[in-house]
Amino acid sequence: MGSLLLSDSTISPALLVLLKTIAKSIAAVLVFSLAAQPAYAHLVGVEFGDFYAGALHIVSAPEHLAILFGVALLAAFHPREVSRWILLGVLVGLVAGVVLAAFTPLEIPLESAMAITLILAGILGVVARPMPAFALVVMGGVIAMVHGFVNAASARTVDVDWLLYGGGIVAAGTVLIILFIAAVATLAEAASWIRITARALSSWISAIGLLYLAVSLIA
Amino acid sequence: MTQNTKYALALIIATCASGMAQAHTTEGVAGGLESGILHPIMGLDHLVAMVAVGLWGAQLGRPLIYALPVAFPLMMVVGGLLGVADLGVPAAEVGIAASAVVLGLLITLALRLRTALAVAIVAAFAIFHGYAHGQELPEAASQISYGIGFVISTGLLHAAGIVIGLLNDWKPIGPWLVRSCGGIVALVGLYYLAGALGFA
Repeated sequence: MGSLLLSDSTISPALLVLLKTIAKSIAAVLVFSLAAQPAYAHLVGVEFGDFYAGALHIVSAPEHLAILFGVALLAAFHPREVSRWILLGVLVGLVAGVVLAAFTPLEIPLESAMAITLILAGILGVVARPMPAFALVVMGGVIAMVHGFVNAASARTVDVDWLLYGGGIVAAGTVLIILFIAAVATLAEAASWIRITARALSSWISAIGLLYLAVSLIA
Repeated sequence: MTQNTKYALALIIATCASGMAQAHTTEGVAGGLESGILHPIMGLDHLVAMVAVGLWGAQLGRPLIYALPVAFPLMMVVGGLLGVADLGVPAAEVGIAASAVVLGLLITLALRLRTALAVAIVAAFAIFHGYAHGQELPEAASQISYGIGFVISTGLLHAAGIVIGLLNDWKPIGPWLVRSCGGIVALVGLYYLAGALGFA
């Protein structure tokens, strides 16, 4: 017990071990607290404002998160000077998709379009061939445009402020893709097996897309 | 066991700890995702077989440690489509139980097969598992969320199997522990096979 007491304003080794144990325990609690809880509404009520309704629309649907993660998996393994351009493509694509849904009478099969983007992003992630910046921008932009359109189209029958709702979709989508790319790229620097794991995850994303497409066509 | 292995185990366990267990018919996206995640976990025959895929891959090493967890979900989706379309995969429950028996035996005997053959075995069994999941997909509150749920759950179970399979590097008892896990998988599979064939 005496070894646990501070002496001469230095922390004793035993106390250091105790502090590290406490820190690890707190970290373990935080990890377990990440156990996802179900989202109970696909379109969160507009009590929080149209901006947050738009932002949460992406977050509350796993298929929307899957497409963003798929794009991030593809972009994260390109050099930074190449992959940063996909952020521009995604931003522009989301804005274009929202504008098309909000202000044009354009109709597309929403579920099939989402499914095809999932399949495309997944396959590109599995193949993992280096792409030039221009191709990444175009690919990211097209996928994001479909993504933005699908998210915005769900609010066509609801009276929303499109500037706020669309802004929420664009903001959430852009922030999520930045975080996903940063997380994957950081993990890839820490462990060599992340790269092959990303290709496996991409295959699962394309599998989800295939299932989605089939269900949308059969149903 | 290395520090990284411990952290990986903790992360896998935490990630597998999905939300509260509710009735199958929970509403909306939550109901579909939750049902999809729980479906492979709540069925012990599904669970042991999917863990066995990761375990076998880890036992065999590269490239199968990656190829098997890729092949299984992909072919499982094909089986899922057959289930959704109700095209009738014969004796699906027998196939699921047999997958646990066969994979368990392969792990117990530490058989090293050719890459193509190993992938083919896993892919074939995946169809049975996917068919069972797909049969329930139309009843899910959100079909796409259900599909995402069972693909994610399957992948995490494979990852759990891979993490357990890392014990293979813990000489000298690690390989025997892994083979023992294979034996347990085979025994569970035998139990379900007996039930599916009407013997239990």
